[in-house]
Amino acid sequence: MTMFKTHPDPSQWDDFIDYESTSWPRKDRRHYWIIPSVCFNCESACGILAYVDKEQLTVRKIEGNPLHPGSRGRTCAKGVVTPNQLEDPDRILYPLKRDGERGSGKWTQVSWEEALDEIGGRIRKAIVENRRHEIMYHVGRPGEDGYANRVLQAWGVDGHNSHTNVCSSSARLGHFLWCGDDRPSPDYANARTILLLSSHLETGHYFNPHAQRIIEGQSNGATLIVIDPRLSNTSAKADVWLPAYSGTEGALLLAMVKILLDDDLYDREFVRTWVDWRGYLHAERPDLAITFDHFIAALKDLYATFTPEFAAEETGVDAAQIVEAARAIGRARGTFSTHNWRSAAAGNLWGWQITRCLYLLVVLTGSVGTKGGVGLHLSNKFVPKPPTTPAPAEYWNELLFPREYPLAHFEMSFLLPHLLKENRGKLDVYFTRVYNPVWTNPDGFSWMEMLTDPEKIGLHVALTPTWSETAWFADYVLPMGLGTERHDTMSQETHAAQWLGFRQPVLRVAREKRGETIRATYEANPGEVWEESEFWAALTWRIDPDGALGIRKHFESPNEPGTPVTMDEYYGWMFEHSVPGLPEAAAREQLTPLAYMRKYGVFKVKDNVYTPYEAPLSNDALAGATIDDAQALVIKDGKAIGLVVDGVAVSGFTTPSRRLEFFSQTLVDWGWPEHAVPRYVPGHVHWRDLKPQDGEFDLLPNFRLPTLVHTRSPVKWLYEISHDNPLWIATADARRYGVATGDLVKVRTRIGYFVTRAWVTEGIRPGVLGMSHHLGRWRLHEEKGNRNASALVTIDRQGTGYKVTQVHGAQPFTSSDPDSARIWWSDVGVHQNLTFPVQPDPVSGMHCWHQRVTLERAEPGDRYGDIFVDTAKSHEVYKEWLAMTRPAPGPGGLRRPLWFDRPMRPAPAVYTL
Amino acid sequence: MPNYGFAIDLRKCIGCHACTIACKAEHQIPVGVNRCWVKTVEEGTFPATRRLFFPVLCNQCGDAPCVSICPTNALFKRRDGIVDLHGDSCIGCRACMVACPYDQLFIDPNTHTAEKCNFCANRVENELLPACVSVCPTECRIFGDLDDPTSAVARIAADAAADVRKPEKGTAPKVFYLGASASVLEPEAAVRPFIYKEGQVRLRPLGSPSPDPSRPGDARVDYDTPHAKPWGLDMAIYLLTKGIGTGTLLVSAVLRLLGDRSTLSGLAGPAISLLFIVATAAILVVDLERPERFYYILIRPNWRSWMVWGTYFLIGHGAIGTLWIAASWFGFTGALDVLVWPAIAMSILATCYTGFLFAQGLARDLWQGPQSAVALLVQAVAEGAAVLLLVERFGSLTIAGASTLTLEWALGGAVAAHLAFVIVENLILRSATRHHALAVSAIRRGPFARQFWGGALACGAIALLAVAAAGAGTEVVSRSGLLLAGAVFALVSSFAWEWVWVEAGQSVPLS
Repeated sequence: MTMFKTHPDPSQWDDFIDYESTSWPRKDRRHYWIIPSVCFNCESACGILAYVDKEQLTVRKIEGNPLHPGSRGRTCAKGVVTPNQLEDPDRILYPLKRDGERGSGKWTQVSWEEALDEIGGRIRKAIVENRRHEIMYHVGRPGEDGYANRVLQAWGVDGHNSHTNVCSSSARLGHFLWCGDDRPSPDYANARTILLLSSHLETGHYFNPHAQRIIEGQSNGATLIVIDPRLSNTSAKADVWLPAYSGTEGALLLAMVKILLDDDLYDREFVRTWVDWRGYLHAERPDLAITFDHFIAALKDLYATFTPEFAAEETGVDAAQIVEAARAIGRARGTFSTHNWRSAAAGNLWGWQITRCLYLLVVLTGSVGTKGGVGLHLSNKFVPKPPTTPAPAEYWNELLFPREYPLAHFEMSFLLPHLLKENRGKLDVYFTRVYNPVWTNPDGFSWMEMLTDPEKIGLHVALTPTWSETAWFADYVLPMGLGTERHDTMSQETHAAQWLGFRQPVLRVAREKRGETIRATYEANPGEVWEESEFWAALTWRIDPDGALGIRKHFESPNEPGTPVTMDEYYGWMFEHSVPGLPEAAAREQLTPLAYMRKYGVFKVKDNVYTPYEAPLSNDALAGATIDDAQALVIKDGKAIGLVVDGVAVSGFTTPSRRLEFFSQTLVDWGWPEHAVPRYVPGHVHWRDLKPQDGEFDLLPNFRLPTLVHTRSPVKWLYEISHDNPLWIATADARRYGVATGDLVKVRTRIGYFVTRAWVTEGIRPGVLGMSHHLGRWRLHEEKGNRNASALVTIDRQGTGYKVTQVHGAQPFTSSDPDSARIWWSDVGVHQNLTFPVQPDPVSGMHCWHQRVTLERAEPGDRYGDIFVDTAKSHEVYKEWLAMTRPAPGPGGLRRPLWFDRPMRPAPAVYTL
Repeated sequence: MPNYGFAIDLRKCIGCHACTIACKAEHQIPVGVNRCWVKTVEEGTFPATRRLFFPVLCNQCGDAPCVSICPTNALFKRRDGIVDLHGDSCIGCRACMVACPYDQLFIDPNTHTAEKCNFCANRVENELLPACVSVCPTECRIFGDLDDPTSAVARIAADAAADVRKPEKGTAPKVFYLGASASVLEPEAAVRPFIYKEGQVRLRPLGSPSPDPSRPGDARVDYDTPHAKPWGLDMAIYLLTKGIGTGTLLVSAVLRLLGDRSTLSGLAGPAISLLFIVATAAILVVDLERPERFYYILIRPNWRSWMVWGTYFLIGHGAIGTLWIAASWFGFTGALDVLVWPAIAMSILATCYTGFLFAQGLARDLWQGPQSAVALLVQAVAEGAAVLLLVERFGSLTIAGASTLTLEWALGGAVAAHLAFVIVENLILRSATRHHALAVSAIRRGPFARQFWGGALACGAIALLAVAAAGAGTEVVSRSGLLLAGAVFALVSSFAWEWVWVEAGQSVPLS
């Protein structure tokens, strides 16, 4: 009997002989190099294998890398389509410079030399003139760990801006407040009960690695519970689906908490040991003696009103189902896995409190860091140290962290146009890097206004593999490599282990295997597509050509001083010096660490990482430390560095108390005492406040599809499956408003409206509307844009607003790819985000995606894809939300609590105002 | 030798479409066609709503109808049970698409030949799992040897809870499903909307059940990607030209048998027959996706395919017609007396094989059974008689009164018989399957109702009335005018029905 393999054995990777599928059953043999890399199409960092045809030097196909511990040889649809991206007839292959007004659509092809000289010279001037704060790098999903950050740090620039506050800040902040760790790392495969508030079986932070393990857990008997007002694909696989009104999830979770407490379904010993219950009693219950029993009693008091009946009334979910779900969670005892990423936390004002309520269940069941529980990203993600670490920036960029948002978990990225409108600064050089804020962010027309204003943005450089709504408004469009065209390292906390992935430009590697000398990746990439790592090094050399600024040295060859570092040198150094175990593993195969990574693409650093907080403190750490007996804390230099458990000093958590913080002194200190503990606060669009008679609804605009990633996936094979985002409306609501599937409807927000088609379904809670986040791409030029995925539109100024009209949708066209002529879909969705005002959570800084909208039947003259937005109104809404903030300084005149990290932390001194 | 099979544990499928795309990448499948895909169905009322994912791929049937019908042996069964395809032998006749009850074959727009899933035989020979199995994030797809009782796939196949698609078709499918419900297994069980939740609907089968707004909990397909129906107007025209071609020779031969010695039955009728048979052959060749390969049907024949038999019948028919004309032209009347019987036999064969060819289209319940062979014969008689009547009139060929009477009776009788057949089949008999019922419903009150009622039935009735009136010797209009009207309406009715039959047969969803 044949033992079938999922993939060719690594011993075959240097010359894999495959039968040509297109001429099968004729047995034409083809020779391939199989070269591993890392997918670039979302943040999961799944391992991929590129099949490089030895004769044609092209990437024939992409499969999963079976050696990769996270993705285990499997990928989602988005990974497999990488060759579609490589061969996309609409991709940008040469550097382009604006010719004419910004946004006028006139471009001239320029040389990389010219681009590097101008951009580098401009940055150099800003640095020399001490205008570092006018340099900003704005990244969507980074897809790499730390390279670009280090570039900025080398320049001395506090200019790292991210997309996280439109993505996941509230999920992260809630988690961080509990345990000092940015995000969870659930061990789904070993869980007995899994509760998802996000749709991790179709999207989620690490879709493919997590979906594998959730289903593995469920197949092994785990109960899967999903809270979502919408029948997501994830809800569809749930054993228990709890379609709570959005924004009421906190009430549901606290009802479960109460059941765990009342039914004694909590892990008493775990809570007693690891939770800072003393802090809570001390601060909030001076009436009680500080004993653990009093803490439990206090908890029961605190959540006494959250009966299943109350929760049922508040959330719309059947009380018996709530009890059933709570008991399943209680039964799991240490093997309760959960995740909350975008839907509830990202949708609602105070969404981070939903995360805190959820994590209370993790804590009560004693599932923190356990096998089958919820681990910590810090212990499961591995980021190797680079050859040199530049000094942190010496100033604080208030365009990133304005003082109104001292606790913002990440940069207030999506407010940038409003901050500039208020003259809080300007930017001389602004990079958007695989980032499309005009389209992805709320209020895109404010972005367009900012980008077209030369007073606000001096030079806009778009680093992107393909056209985007944002690149259109750039001064330079510089083509960057895709997942098989660049070097990066990347790791994610996909499960209870640590691994490091290595992304490679596979055609370069192939040609080097053939014996060619390739000096730079662009020589092997199509057209003049660069890889970012080499771009940053080259740019840095333009900024500091003689090394006088002290910047160049961080990108200098260790072997040949006076020349830029090569990728072999940079990554070779890292793999040799910064990855424990890798040099030894490589030596066993008579390989250098770099050669090992080039061959296998991944290295497992550690397996079975559980309960890292129990790690005993080292003798070095303990030297000079004292023990605070009352608190059972290890104190060093006036700061808790660990705690004493059963007589052993262990590290605990990275919170100020080193314990799990049910009670947050930080929130009290920074002006939010009412939020000191996990509590239920209805979101900003609460169902009770809506007036159905006026057509008011709660719009969920932030769900995604398994087939698409915004900004990266407008390719033919994905679009032929998913290309439209009609408005989900419950049957009951559709009847009331006389709407049928396919009818045109008009959805009004505070700042405008959009027109789309209705899709009537029993898969959404009445009162709630849904619309996928991914679709509705547009372009302003017939040929410059993704023609298979975008509508050609016109944008007309109307008063203080803009009107978008679709000229036509996707159309077949002639190109080098015969499939271009086979495009059969014309609808490509409607861009809803344009019509959303910014709604920053005053604490986490997260954009609260849910919209209070009014539904109307379309009027005569309304057409599919019509959009209108008034940017004057959007600035008013910005000011309303800004008024909800409680600005810095906090205790000690700080801009931000010192224990609150930043993606690129500036010097400690500048934390003080 | 192994016997490869496949199982899909639907409880694990998350509907991510990775399999679809991995297949596209492995085989470089163009936009618009698929070897495998994931149908999605939503059913139930809130909050008891469910969404079901149903990956489909070729069943590699134990008794594969596509292999039986393929005229050139391009489709073949490997010893390991995989149904594979020699693209080099395929003439692009699309018969396999008609035969497959699972909509698993399509024409590749690059090669213009048929394509289908072959369990990635190219990988299997390298001891690699099919691409869709290798990629699947949740490992819901299982490939292996059904004859190895220890294999996972054999265990699932033996599980009483495992289902296959359309077992009633008797094809012995080898893709087994765990956790499937009727709403996904049966293509007719779910309504088909006009937009999907993530995109436009393409190639929606015209006879699909439509959503009923008063029944929102009905199972509804939310994603499916059927292939283009293989046959259309081309086949309706073929049926008409062939019916005229065989019918005129048949009726001419019968006239001669009854003593007619006119130019009509001797030369004009057979000449028209030959013309239409040649036209039929031309239509068939031009209609191929690879017309330049038409002769493969003769050099690589699959004798199980009615298409091959049909080809030979048409050639035979053309040959006899030619001989007839030659004999008639050169005045060998004795030869005609000999040719009468082969001409009748060959006309019947060339007429009736099409009924069996359509019935070999196992996918289509409307076409099943031998009765359509009889119906086609009746139609051919009507078409032949009608054309001869027209030729007699416009060709100013005089024939004996008895012969005219024979033609009148042939036309009237055949039209009446055909009307009766169509009425009984589509308005009286109960459908045995849901598929058949949907096709009949599409005929009665669906997209084909206008052609059916107005074309096939009304025109047929008018033809019958006209012929009857002529026979009754009515004085209102001229007798010949009535006969001409009868002939024209009979041809229109016949063509309308053929078109309805071809289209409605293919109007039911298969996946």
